[in-house]
Amino acid sequence: MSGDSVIELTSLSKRYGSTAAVDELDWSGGRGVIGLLGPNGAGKSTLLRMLATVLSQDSGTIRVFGLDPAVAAERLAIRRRLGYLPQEAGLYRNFSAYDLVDYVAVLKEITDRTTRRDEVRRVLADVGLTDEMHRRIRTLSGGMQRRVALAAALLGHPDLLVLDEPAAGLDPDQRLRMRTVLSDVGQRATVLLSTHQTDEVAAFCQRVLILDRGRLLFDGTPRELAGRATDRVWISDVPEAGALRSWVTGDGDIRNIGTPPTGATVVEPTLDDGYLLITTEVGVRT
Amino acid sequence: MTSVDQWHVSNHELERYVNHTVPTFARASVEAHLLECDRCRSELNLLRSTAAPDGDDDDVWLRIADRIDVTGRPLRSSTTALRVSTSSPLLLAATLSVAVGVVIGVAIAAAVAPRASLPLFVMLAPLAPVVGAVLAFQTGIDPAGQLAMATPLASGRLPYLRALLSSGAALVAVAVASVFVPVGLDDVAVWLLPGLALTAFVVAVSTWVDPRRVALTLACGWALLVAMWSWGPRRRTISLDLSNLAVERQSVQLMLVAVTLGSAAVTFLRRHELPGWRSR
Amino acid sequence: MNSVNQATRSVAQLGMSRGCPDGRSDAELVAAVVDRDRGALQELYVRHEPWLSIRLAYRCSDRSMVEEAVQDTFVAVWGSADKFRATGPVAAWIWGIGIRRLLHVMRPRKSLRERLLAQRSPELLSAEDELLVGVEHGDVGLALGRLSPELRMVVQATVLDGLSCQEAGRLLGIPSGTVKTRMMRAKREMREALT
Repeated sequence: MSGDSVIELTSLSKRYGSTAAVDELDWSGGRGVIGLLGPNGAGKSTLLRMLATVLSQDSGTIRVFGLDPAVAAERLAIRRRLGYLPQEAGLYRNFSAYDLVDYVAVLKEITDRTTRRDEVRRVLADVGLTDEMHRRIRTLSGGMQRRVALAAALLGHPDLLVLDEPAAGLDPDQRLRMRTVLSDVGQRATVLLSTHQTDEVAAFCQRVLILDRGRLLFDGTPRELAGRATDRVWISDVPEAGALRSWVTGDGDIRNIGTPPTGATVVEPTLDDGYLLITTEVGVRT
Repeated sequence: MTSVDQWHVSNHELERYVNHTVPTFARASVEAHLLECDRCRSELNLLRSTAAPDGDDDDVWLRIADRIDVTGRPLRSSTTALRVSTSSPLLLAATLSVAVGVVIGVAIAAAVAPRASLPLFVMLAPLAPVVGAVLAFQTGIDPAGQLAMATPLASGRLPYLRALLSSGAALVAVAVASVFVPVGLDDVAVWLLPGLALTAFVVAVSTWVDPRRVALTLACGWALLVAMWSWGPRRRTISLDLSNLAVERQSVQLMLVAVTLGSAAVTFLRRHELPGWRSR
Repeated sequence: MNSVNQATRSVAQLGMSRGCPDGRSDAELVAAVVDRDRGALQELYVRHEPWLSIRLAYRCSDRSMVEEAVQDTFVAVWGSADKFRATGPVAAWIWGIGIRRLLHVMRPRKSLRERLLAQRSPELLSAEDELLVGVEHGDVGLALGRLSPELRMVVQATVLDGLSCQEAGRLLGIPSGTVKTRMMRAKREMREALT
């Protein structure tokens, strides 16, 4: 392992037919909470599945904790330190939340009964399901079912958490709770999560990646992402032809991204602006 | 509440009740009233929590919680191996329906077309355990679905334990079904050996490719073979001479045993390569 | 059991410190317990454990036995909430379970017959008890107070605690026949006192 990189990817590729889901990706990263942004079909889930050792790549190398998931023994070693939340968990709905998480704890080799019980209760409390833990999953709301899966991913204090859209279906209150829990985990482990929402990234990620059509467009802090759009955002009264993107804000102004004309009212950029600028510019170029 | 609400236990009296200093005759009415009155109960709770702040109430609740936080009955098994391999209600249901299907199918065939029942049995019998094994390798049957795939046990013995269990159940069903057809105990090798060989082979090959495809190919091949034996040009009658199958041919039997053992060895060596649990 | 570790503690504290008070009625909580709502059981515990502990402590001076009975009671509530019939107050139902769990805990160990008896499902309080509650407390209290101690104990065990003669006999350590005769005497005396 070079430096403190938990994940190292070199020219990683995965194709489905003629489309590249992940295209010659090079990246390495260490601890903390890392947000993976990108439009639908950008290859986020494919990348996360490869990192979670459940999907093999076509070419390139993956190293997690310096181990190669393609090698059976090393894959096992990675899985012992991994927590994975798939996009579609597909939980058996007749189990209670407690039974399901307990079952996953068995799969995660937590064999001692008392330890397992306490651990199951800990993760269910972390996602705020203490009161509902004995209800059948089918009787829980979509957001609660999502939290059951998240709880299962948190089992056993993994060193790497790979979370595919953990915030989907959660209300603002639960989101806040999830951020608190994940920030806490991020203190000592690596949390890699995909999301559609830039505010999610702004709220608690130390690092942002933007993936589009399998390529990495941006890698930096949330502040740097917003900084990308410095002097590129302006307000106007009428739609401007020179703007890459423009939209009407709640105040009735028109917000433009692109190269502002001279004399335009340039405003402070947000994460959204940075994200839109980067993804739009790529679209224009290709 | 009803008329009871008009009268309430005084705080002084409640306090005496909590401290065990209330006279007996008053105690009775305090107790009877407490059963009916929310208000006096919460007063009592307040009194008690101020009298013994943060006492061992918490401990009592924790011990209650310890006793209710247990897994449901089918999962309570003590050994991890047994618990994990029996933990899939979906697999259980699928295996059961395969088993019941085999028994009922053969029984109906024996009743409707007695002469065709034997070929049908020989055709079905080795395929039932194959179906059982293939079912066990599907990630969809795991109660935790995709979540299970990234866990340490999923890379190891879990799918194999399940395959063993479900194909074993299918074999038992076949043994039960053999009651309906003219197959004696001596003829066990006719269906058991091909069954074992086919199942072991499918499991071994599944470490390279999707077992469903392999199983389907083999099933078609086996069905064709049995059909040829039964209705092929050399035998024009609808009957199957068991002696012509594997029984008397020791070389065939040895070959089947060799395939079984060889496949088992390959499976052991490549046991971490189940494609179903790591997509390509 | 001092080794209750921190994980468990945090769970309990989390449950205990649920900010908003639960607006549900007792009967609604029991219905929620049927649907495996652990929070509802905890709320029932918070509401009913204090009086239950105190009342049981009047029947048994051994603190650890009372505690065990309280524990057993709420585990039984969790296990058989579906048997609750909404004909009386939830507290009365809990008491019916609680006093029998106490008897079970206090039983001389190893008696199969007693263990079988304790398995019986708890009943709601008798009609006589309802009557007692309805009457203004002073009269009945005074009437009860005038009874001799042994008669009073029998009335309490049968009428107020809702025990059968056999169960009351076990609690008081007297034969069930004696309970019956004392009960008849007590009823007569109380009726005279109240009229």
